[in-house]
Amino acid sequence: MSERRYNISRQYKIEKGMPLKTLLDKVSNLKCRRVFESEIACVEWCYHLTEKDGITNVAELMREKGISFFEVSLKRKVSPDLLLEVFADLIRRPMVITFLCAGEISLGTFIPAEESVPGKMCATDFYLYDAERIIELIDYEADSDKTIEQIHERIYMMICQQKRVLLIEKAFEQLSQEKEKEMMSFEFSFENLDQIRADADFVQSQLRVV
Amino acid sequence: MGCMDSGISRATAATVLNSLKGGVVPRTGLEYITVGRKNEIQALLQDVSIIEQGGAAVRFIEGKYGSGKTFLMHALRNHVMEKNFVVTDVELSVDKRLVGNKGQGLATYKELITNMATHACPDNGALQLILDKWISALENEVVQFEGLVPGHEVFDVRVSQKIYKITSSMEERVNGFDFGKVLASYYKGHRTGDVELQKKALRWLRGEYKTRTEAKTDLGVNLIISDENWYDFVKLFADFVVKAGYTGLYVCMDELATLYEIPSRVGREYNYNKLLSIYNDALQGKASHLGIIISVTKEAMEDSVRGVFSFGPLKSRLEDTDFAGKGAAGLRDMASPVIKLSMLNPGEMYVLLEKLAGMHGTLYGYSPKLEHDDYIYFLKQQYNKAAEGEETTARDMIRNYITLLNLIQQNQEVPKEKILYAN
Repeated sequence: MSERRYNISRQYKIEKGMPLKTLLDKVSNLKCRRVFESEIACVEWCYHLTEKDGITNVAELMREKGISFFEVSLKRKVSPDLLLEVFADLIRRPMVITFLCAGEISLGTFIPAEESVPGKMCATDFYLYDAERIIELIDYEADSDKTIEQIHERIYMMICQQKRVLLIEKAFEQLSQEKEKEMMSFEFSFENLDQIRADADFVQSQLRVV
Repeated sequence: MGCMDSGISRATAATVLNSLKGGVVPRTGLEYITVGRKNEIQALLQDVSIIEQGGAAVRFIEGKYGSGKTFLMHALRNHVMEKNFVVTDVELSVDKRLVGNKGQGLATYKELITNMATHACPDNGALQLILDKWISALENEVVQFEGLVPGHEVFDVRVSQKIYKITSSMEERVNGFDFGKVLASYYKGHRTGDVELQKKALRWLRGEYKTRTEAKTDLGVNLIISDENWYDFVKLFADFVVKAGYTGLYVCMDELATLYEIPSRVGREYNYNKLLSIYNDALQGKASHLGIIISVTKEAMEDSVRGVFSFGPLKSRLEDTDFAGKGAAGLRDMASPVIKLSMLNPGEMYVLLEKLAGMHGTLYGYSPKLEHDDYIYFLKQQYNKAAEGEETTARDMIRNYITLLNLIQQNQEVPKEKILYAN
């Protein structure tokens, strides 16, 4: 079942949907469960990256330590931080999650730590998914001789960096919108009304072809 | 109020008000409601005068969504159509670009040919009329100046000589030989009553031939109009329409932002490269009697990653110079290839409201009741919406205003204040 098309023998394609109800029943916070029940369309376990080569069945794969790649389709946008937090709590294994909603994407990752330590997680905000903004999670050439931990750490750094870029972009957008609002503000003066009328009449005469 | 008597007809007033109410730019009567665009119009009319004299011009109209780019383009389109130009327009989209690997460039060309319009045929589909007018003008010349009448044994020979003189004069242009040959075929079809041959020539000119073999068999030409060469034929058409008795060809391209939305960098660059050729041709005198006006949003123009300015050669040509960019003394260089449209200011909106009220009065035969305070109240209300974060453009304001005028006119027994202050 090794995928191999990316020249990494340790990556396995799974395409296994999650029994959503069973998964969500485990969400302890009632309000949170209600949000998840109504907003998540499906969860799919897409890939698994392990150190071991030549695994032939899913049962064996599930026992292997590695990074799981999930894809979560949403009906409406829910905070990616909250989504990641809940999934990390449910699944409790190293993972990368792609949240998809209305043509936008959000990436999150979770690196578990030892018992009683929370672990590391990071999720980007939603952003428009297009070829310009694709970030390649797996760097096939660079990752081929790395351990799973090293690869996961690199993905974590990359997602943190993407999160930062998006935060700056959104702040900048906000700033531009505020400026535009200022420009639309109502400042009215009688002084130039006659000039505006005269200019409009002039334009009318220019555009008319007799 | 100091506005000049517009003299607008009821039919035009109806077209303008109905279109604006529907949120679309009217096809006619734009000159009556063009407010706050004196400098822009003068710059564009300057281009028109250059084109009339055999030059070429390319202008970009840059502005926010709803700032009036399409309006300005249509105002110019209508004006030049009245000045005996052949006009055409295309709204670029996913399947209509300048270049594409699925024939999107050719699709743009086909749309331009389909949308050709003239004063006598203002609603598109004028290609055949242009060709027929060309032939009949030459026939008239033979009748008037050579005293020959149709049916005379030399008549056809003389007209043919004139036709071939024109078509052969186009041979020196790129792809002009085949273009001229197809025009000659169209005339041959006309002369011999071969409607099928005329249809084939029209199909070829519309870019509908898919293979050279087919074109060779039908018309004896070794070339078809394709994604790679379509712009050469736009230039040839500009040249030809002048020979056919028109002043020039005026092309309006809306929604250049489509190119900005192409996901792949390579795809965008191919398109920007084509745009560069179009721009260079106009400036370097490789095109004549051709005007091209292109609308683009600020973001699609200036974004350094995906916009027109992401393509170095275009950026260096179109970007503001230091003087203009820093708004020296608040002045704008209207000779710049990019005309930046600002939103109408409240004073300009006020005058527009006056004009629309007058037009509404003409249409329904009444004296509009709205006065200065009412305009101010309406405008304050609309601008406040924008300030509170609601997406409000001039287009939305005008739609609201026409609804208000309709309500007041339709309910004359209700005090206007009751309607105006209800919202």
